[in-house]
Amino acid sequence: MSKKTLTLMSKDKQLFNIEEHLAVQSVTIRNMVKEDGASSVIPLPRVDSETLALVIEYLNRQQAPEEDEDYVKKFVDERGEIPTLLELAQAALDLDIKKLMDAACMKVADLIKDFTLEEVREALRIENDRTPEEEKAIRDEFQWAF
Amino acid sequence: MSLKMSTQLPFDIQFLIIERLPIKSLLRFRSVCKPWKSFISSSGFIAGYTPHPQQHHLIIRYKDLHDEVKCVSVFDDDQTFALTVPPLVKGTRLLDSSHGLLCMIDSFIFTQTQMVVLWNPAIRRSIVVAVPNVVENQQFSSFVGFGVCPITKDPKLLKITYIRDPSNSKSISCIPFQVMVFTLSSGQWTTPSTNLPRKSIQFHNYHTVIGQLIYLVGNDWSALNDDGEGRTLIVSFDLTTHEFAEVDIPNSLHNSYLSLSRLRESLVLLHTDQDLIQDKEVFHVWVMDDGDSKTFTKLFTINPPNAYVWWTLGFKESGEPVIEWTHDETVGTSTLGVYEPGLGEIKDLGIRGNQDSFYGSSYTESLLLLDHEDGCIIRPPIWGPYRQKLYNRWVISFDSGCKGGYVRLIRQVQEQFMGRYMQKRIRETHEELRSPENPRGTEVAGKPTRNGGRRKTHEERRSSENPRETKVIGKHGGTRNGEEDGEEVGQGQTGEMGRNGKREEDVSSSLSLSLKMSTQIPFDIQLLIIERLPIKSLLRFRSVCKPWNSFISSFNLCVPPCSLATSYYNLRNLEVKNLSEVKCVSF
Repeated sequence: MSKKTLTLMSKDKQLFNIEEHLAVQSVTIRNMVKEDGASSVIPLPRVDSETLALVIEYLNRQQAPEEDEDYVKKFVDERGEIPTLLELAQAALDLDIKKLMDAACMKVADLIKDFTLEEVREALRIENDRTPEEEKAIRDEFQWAF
Repeated sequence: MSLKMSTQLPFDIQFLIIERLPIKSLLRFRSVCKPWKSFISSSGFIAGYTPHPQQHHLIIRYKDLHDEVKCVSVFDDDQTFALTVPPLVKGTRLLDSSHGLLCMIDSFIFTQTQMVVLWNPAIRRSIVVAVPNVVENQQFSSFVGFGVCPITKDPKLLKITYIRDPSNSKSISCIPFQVMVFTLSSGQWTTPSTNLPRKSIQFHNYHTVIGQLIYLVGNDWSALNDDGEGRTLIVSFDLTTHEFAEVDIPNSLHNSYLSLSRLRESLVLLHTDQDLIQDKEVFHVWVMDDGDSKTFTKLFTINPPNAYVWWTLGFKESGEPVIEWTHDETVGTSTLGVYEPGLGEIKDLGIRGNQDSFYGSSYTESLLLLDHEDGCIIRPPIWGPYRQKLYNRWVISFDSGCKGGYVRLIRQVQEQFMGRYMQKRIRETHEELRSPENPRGTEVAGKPTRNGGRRKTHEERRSSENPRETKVIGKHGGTRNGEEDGEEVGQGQTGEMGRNGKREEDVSSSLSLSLKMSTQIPFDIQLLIIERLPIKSLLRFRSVCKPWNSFISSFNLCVPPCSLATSYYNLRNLEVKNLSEVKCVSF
């Protein structure tokens, strides 16, 4: 039985090949394959090539289901940069790969849990939309947590 | 990467990350930005949040050797961690825990009201719910249960009144407010009238909540066991449907004295038994199978050599019980330990406290109560303004965090409600009791006479726990006398006098006062009526009797007269007509 190969195209038009039985771990891809047999290239307009390479690396190496948990943890641990992890989480969300999404978000949560507010905003690209007074009022409710 | 940074991170990713943060970070990160605050404060998030990874531990409440209430977490690796105990929680005992909330019960019952504190230690927030229609008298007894509905994540309280002396059960056709259920989201008490527990069931103070069921222990006096006592049975209350059901237990346990606990998510029956050879108590541990069969299996017996086990407080995830134990049962102090069933040994956790002051419950963190104001009181609508004020003071006395505050409050209650007239009368009765025909009575409540039978252990467990319980109102300890509401306060006074070395419970239980009072309308009802009188009548009725006079004189007449009070007064079905009446008092 010959293994069928799919071609995925990233946002910046780069092409990646992956075996179909590995690619369908992504629920999004699985649905696409079911619909039109995936004869052509599957475009992924929200995922850049760097991240897609990572996702493909993850999908390719992940084979034994019983080692999944440890593997996916190690996989995200090795890429412990918050921006990379966020991209990865976003791609995993788009492609509907639950384990990868879970692990990436968990890792980010782990990394930022002891950050100061300013650091959180910087890491997650969030703008502060409050005046210092408003911020203090909210903070005072749980002063002990700071 | 710099290009990527400039675009905003989609909200769904942000929220996926927020969901995975520990509670302390969540509380801090509410001020990151407005969307985060509203997401974290949303009721859906509060209800759905479970910490990653979910950590099970036991919370133990005890009194240390200086009589201070302490709480510790015992983790599965036997590490202990002290919790900050909020002032509201001091002087309460731990009933149970469900979805991150600890239900702490104040032993003081005043004008048929008992205060329950719901405390979330993870976010350090607590609220008070006043439970109405709690009776402790000759005929009836009440107790309060608690659980969080696993579907709606709505905290609920259950109040059951049962017939104290089951031989009366035939002559009593109806138990007033037999079952009441409180739902925090609505702030309302409902009084179901169908599917109530049978009247012949006498409930005990044990309680455990697992999933959607609260389990209770009782004795069914319609079916006597071999000892001629009511057959022991387990009753469950469904938090989603508000229905009661009875749970089958092995025949061998029908005669036994049972308390409840939980091991992981299974019901545990703790059968207290006597080891006749060593002359001490042992606990047989039975666990309910989770399958459909609902049968019980005996796991092991807690019977360490050379040690007395006072109580089984809970189970670690690994199945080892955490116990209150002592080497010498006469010393009055106990130690926290882990019993290892395989070895029959106790591992000392190094925490010492007053004997019988230990309570425990398994616990997991949650965010419940984040959307409630800290320290708010949810009171039943039948309260008039006077009692509202009194209870505000009750809270303030805890705010000062000292027992002195409480004692002062009790004195105020005594003086204001009963006046010097009643005090004098009680003092006279007290003098009579001191006369020679009552020679005994210098014993202390918690004395180690546990061999005296199982029922006694139960009573002791209820009574000796809290000095306030015995000092202020000995009745919670199941005293046998008639206790009309007037006497409730009266007992408070004997408690005060009991400092002279007299055993409070003895005095209160043999007070003849209750007989005199028994024909009167309960003081509680009198209060309800007085509170609702217009000012002119109040002024006239001061001369009705001395207690009325002192009550009305203490009543601050600037409070709004009856018109306001009667508008929401509906004794038959206790409902808050609109939520604005659920007053919140913060401090």
